[in-house]
Amino acid sequence: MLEVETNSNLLLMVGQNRSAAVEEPAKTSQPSAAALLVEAARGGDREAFGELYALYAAMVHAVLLARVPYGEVRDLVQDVFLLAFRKLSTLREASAFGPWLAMIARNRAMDFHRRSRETEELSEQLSRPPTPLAEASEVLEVIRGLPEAYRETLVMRLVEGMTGPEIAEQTGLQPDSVRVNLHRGMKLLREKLGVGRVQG
Amino acid sequence: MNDYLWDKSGDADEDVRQLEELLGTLRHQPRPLELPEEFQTANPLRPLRRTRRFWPALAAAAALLLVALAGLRSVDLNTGEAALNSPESAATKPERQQEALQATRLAASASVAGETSTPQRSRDAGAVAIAAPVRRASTPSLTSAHAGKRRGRREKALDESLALGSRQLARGRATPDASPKQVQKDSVESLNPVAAVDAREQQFAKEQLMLALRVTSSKLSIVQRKTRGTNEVKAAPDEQQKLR
Repeated sequence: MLEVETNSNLLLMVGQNRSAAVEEPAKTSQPSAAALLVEAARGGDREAFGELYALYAAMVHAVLLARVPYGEVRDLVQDVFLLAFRKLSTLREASAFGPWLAMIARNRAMDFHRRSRETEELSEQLSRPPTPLAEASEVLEVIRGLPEAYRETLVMRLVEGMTGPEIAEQTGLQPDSVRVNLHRGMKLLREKLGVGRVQG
Repeated sequence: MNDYLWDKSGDADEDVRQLEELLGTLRHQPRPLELPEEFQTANPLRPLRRTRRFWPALAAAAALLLVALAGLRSVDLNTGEAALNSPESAATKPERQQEALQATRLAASASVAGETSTPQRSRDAGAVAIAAPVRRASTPSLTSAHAGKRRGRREKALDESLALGSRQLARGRATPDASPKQVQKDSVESLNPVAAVDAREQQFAKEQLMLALRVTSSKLSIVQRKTRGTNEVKAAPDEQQKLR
């Protein structure tokens, strides 16, 4: 009980200082807090899993958004977390929750495409957002055309507003790899979009 | 080096900032996670671990069972061979036969009465042969019902052998038209009826052992299939018939 309360306090601290923690690339409090939350959720603490959802939903959203239509992502995020909740006990290392969750999201996106192969064009058309989001959707389509290594990282950075250290921490990638993916992906995106279009 | 793309520090890159504003409209809109009530958060890994822990114990138990059965079988066979191959067991002196018959009757009555605690041994040749059945009567793997049936069969076989031995002793020779091997066997049985009983006991014990091994093997295979998640637990028809 005391441990759960401690976890909640840690999580509150993490949530309040999220922007401040961005300035510290080598921060270690959030992984340990996430690991504690995972342990608490394994023990049946639903609130702890809710906190994990709050922490990782943006990352999962980005992973899905890099692969599936925008209109489908919201429900798929819920699916991913429900699946994670059900299979949480199969996670060997609590500290690997982020990469494990990202893998579930990728598999769920592949499963979505496998199941909706026949109606893919129709769902794309139906899920296309209205005019205010049309331009954003077009840019997103360009990002989806980039190599997979850059796709997720750019969506996390440009759509979800995550910083490089946050991306590295939640996906389990090396910070240097994230940095390289960001810069190379941005360069490719600029080439594909053209500076005039972005600025105009 | 501009680190705005990396950690939003330093001067903002205009391209990046405009893309952030544009794509920010697609950002995740938090909504409460809906976890169904029926979802149990009990650790489903426990059954898996329990199964994994269960396997070595099961394997060890099976190995112990097989070793025990093999040991029992070897003890039975060795005792039987000792009884048949002993030069003294083929003795033809009537005194020895009478002593053996008396000892046999004593052993049989003791066996029927359940006096199986101490193997009866004596310095006589026949006593070596008759001590084994008494010891085998205390085999713990048999149920009391089986033991009772076995005692009945034993008494019957003993009486038949004794009667046969007495008739052949009275004739003083083996059957003339029998083969040499049969003559030898008959003479051994007639001269030492306890050995004949022991041979039948051996055969019976062997059958029991083989049946136990088949049952154990079948049960192990069933457990193996179940733990592998296969729902098709079907024993081979011949195995089932054998089990029945």
